Amino acid sequence: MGPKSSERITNIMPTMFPSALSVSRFDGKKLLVIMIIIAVTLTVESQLSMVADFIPEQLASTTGIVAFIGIWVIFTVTQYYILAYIKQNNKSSKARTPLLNLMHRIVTVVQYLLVGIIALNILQILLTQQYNTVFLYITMSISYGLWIITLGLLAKAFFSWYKSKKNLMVLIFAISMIAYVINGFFGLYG
Amino acid sequence: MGKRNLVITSADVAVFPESPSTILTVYQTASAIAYVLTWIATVMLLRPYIEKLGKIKFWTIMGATMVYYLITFPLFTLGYFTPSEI
Repeated sequence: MGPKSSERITNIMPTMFPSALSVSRFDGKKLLVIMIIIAVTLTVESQLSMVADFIPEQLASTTGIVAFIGIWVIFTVTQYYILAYIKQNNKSSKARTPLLNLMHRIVTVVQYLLVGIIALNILQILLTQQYNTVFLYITMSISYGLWIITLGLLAKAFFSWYKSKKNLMVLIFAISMIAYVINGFFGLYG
Repeated sequence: MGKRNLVITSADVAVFPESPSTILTVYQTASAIAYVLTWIATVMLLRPYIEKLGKIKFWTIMGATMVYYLITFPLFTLGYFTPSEI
């Protein structure tokens, strides 16, 4: 007996790019590599932000600016693959949720908007040796806004899942998402 | 935000004043609760992998994330380790 049509659909990945890193050939291993790269970069970036007050000269030096641009490039490239991977999964999924597709579109637009704003900031640093903090405020506001909306929706989904399953783990995830939303609100306000 | 410089030049040191203490307290408390709850739920989610990885490996990986947080949170987020103290 051949596979059902829905099963066949999940295995079809239309080719978008002919390279080895094309999204169409994206398997679990490649996703793991991308996730490890992001985890390492995020850890380095968060550590730098924590010790930023100790090393202002190093951060303003050429090495510091190159590191900043490098982190921006890594996030730009990896987010492209993750967004494309999620898009492929959504397309091949049996679940049809218009909200999920809408959220994917919003997240994609916002992520590229953030990439563009940071690119403007980098250009400004490279060309004029200074930057406007207004760009940072806009970036932070957009990031926190997206954070609040997506995690709020996730909390709602977890709570509705808990209502039907009565699973403690799902409830803990739901409460933690609420805590993240509160964290986002006060981060935006502060 | 209004107190901060609008333009930071290469000769400046970018200083971002802290938020009012009440906002900061709620922000940090929510952050800590969210992290710990996510960690607990993640342990529950990944528990079946104890058999595959072994108890020691599993708890080393999961424990490392919590130890990392417990070290960085008081030092940097709560400000026990700031430039003024060195």
